[in-house]
Amino acid sequence: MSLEHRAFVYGGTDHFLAVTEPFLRSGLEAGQAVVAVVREPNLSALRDLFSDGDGIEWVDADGFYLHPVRTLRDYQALVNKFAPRPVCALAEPVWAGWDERQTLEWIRYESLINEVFKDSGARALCPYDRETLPPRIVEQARRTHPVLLSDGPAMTSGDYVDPVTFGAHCDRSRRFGRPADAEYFAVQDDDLHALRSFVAERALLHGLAKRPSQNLVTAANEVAANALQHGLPPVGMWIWRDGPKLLCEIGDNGLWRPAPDPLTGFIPPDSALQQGFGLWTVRLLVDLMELRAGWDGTFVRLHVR
Amino acid sequence: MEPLRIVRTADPAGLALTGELDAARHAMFARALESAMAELPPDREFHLDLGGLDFIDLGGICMLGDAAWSRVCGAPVVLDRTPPQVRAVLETVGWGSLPGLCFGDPAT
Repeated sequence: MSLEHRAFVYGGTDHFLAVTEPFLRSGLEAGQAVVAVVREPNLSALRDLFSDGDGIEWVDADGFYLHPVRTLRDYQALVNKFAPRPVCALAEPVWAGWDERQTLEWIRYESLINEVFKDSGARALCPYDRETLPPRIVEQARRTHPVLLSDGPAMTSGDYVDPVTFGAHCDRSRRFGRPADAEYFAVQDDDLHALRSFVAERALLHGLAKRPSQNLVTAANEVAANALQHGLPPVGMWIWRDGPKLLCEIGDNGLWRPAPDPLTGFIPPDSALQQGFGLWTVRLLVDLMELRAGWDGTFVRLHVR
Repeated sequence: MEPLRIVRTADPAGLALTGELDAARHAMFARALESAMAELPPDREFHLDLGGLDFIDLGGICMLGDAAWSRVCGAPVVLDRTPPQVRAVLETVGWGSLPGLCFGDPAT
């Protein structure tokens, strides 16, 4: 079963309702599991057009779009929960309140939907408010959605780019500098206890809350264990502060083979027993994980705040 | 580092873990898990007392998931006294990817 992934570029509440209401009704009529993840005030306006007995799951987008990889996980959980019934989702991402880097990851997220749910049979309509969103965000929707809907009938997007190509483009804009005063920790043997203590101490000094701090320790341990198992010495870790953020980078001299692609660690495994569980989980544990595999080695950078 | 200590428990039947479980101790844990589970009838719950566990890595979590999956038609694998670090990882991963695992006695 394939995926229907459409962007709906709208202006004003009336336009929003005129398209989203029939979309949800079509899902109900087809016996699909209907989920509406929308921001207020559109959420309430749309909800008023339905009755409680319709069986639609209503979700406030502000609490659902907090971390792109966790949102992928949550949609995956919904798809699994309702299987074999396909999911019909009205899915309006939140674009306010992110910095440049976070916005890039949310745009990438929209592209990843095409890959992660390609065989799910799901239908997703993603509203984009052209009156309030920066034009750049609306433009990117044309690249991340194969089909566009606005004032007339649905149209194939001529600008659509597949998720691998799109991800590679996102990655090219990254910067990998490291400040000269970053602390270095050499990983000498396979006992990672000292590394964990070091990370926990720096997280405490930085003022991280307990949970993100424990998650960072778990993530750094996982990446270092991978480097010891698959990489080449020397294996080491740099840690530094960048404003409110704490960054932790683990590197080794090995060449990652087969080379990671722009989807590495972004595809949810079906279970903990599948390959890829480790990197996927690291992405869930920290705010952002960046991977760079180059001629000089393999580097995984973890961001937390 | 704090060594991993594994003790058999009779009531409830299972294992009690103390210390830190990381890649260097996977083989030790796998052996203990395998022999303890082999002796337990599939219709009896298998309990893991994690109250003394200071750290578990993702590989260790996978081993818990694997153990639960191997008994998927029988009684569940129950995690007792799960520390916050372990609980945080399990919740982050999502229970959907760890069928057959459940929490028993709360953390102390």
